Amino acid sequence: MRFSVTIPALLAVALFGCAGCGSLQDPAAGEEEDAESSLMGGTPRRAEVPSFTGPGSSRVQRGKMPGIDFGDVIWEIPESEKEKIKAVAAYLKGSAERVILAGGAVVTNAEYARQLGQQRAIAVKNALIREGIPANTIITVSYGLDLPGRGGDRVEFGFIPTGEKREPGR
Amino acid sequence: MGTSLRAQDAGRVPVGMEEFIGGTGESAAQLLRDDLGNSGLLSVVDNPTAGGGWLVRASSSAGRIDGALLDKKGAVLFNKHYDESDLRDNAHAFADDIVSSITGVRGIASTKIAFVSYRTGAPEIYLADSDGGRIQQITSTGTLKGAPSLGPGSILLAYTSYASGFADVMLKDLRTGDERAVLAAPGTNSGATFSADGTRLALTMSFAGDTDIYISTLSGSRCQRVTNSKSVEFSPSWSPDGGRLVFCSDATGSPQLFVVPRAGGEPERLETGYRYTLSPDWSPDGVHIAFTGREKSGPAIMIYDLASGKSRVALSNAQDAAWAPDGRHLVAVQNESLVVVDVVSGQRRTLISGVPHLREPAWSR
Repeated sequence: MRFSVTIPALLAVALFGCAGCGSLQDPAAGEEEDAESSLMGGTPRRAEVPSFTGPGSSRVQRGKMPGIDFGDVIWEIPESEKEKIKAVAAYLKGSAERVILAGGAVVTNAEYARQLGQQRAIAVKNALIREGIPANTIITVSYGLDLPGRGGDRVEFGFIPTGEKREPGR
Repeated sequence: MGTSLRAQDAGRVPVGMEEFIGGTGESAAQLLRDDLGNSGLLSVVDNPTAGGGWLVRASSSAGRIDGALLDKKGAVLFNKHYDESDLRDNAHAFADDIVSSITGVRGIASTKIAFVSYRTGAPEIYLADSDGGRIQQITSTGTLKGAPSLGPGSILLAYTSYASGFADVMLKDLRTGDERAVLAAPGTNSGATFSADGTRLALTMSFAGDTDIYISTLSGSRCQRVTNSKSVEFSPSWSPDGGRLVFCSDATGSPQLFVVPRAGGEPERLETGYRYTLSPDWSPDGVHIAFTGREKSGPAIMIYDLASGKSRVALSNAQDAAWAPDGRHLVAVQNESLVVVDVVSGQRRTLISGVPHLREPAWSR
């Protein structure tokens, strides 16, 4: 028992530094020796962007265009919603704004709701890309059971004005 | 209680307990009695001579415990001083030593259970002793969060936080309170669970285009993709040897359980007998997988036996089960309460109730 607690304690020290040692330390250097590091690729980190709720959200315009309703469809975009996608794509082509796609899902399991909401946001992102919207102007997030606003089985749009006009042809 | 065994004590090893002396002796004795009972393996009898030969002798003052276990011949198996500052810690450690000495099984009294509750109006992470006592609020940001997982020894807590406005995996040192966002890739990062040795996290990320299962170092600096499909893949749980993962995928149209080698490869679907299955948790002995199955009457906690390929109901009208490190107990959400069920005897006890919107319990390993 004592041994089994010692290893996690050492891991915690490696990650956070010892208690009283001050600020958090980056443990990445210590992991270079990891035997499995050859299996590991670098994990990307999200760029600093305004969020749908939380930091920077005052810059995000929500409710400007109707969200995508999925109803009881898992994550493919329902035929009835495809015109909404085209309308959003047409708007984005003329505005040079970035867009946040915030997904939600109403299922009994919180983690499934988070990931289902994300896959729905990804489905909308892919549809916008097919309509000619650059992938690097689209941000996805899922709130699962707790999608702000009306909630539900939806993907909501949040627009981030850039103050620029998109150049023709982009 | 007397010396005769109650029905729920059948199959348990009786243990005699002398009256504890000292200022906190009575409280220590009650905690110990509860812990030994909660093990599912032992039962305390008041008459020390009727304990089948096993005898607990202890004194406690100012929360410290001097405790001994004597065997059938009166020989002292151990005699230890438990010196943590909190009586609960000392009683739990004493109980685990007794369980381990008599049965050879690791006790669960010192383990912790993390869970999510909206007690303050916002979802926060809480931590409780395995007997439901000493509930601590661990987070207090007021933002969305969920999917807690405890590392070995309850030293590190991983959970999903929306403090940044996005779903990131946080790692928190429960001794110091220090925490950092270790996985903040584009998209949603969630559902992180520790490997049994505590050196890796398995989780769902979506930065590569779809929601897939990944393995990550604890720092989050490097990751390995395990699954690669267009469907939603989530809720990974490690096999005890760290070689495989069980997870949910809706590739067939509804969430089902699949097993995949940690190095990746073709996932194999588990024929659980249920079309809608969630929250798999691989038992610490590697023999079973607990999951939530949808029955006509509602969700139920099922146990899938890997050897026979058969599933059985462990707890009806419940969901989101997590194994205790003894592989004998499960904690789950049932009727707005956290309930612990002994999967061998079927006995259940309510761990925590009256706390709003309990969900996603996780038991430390």
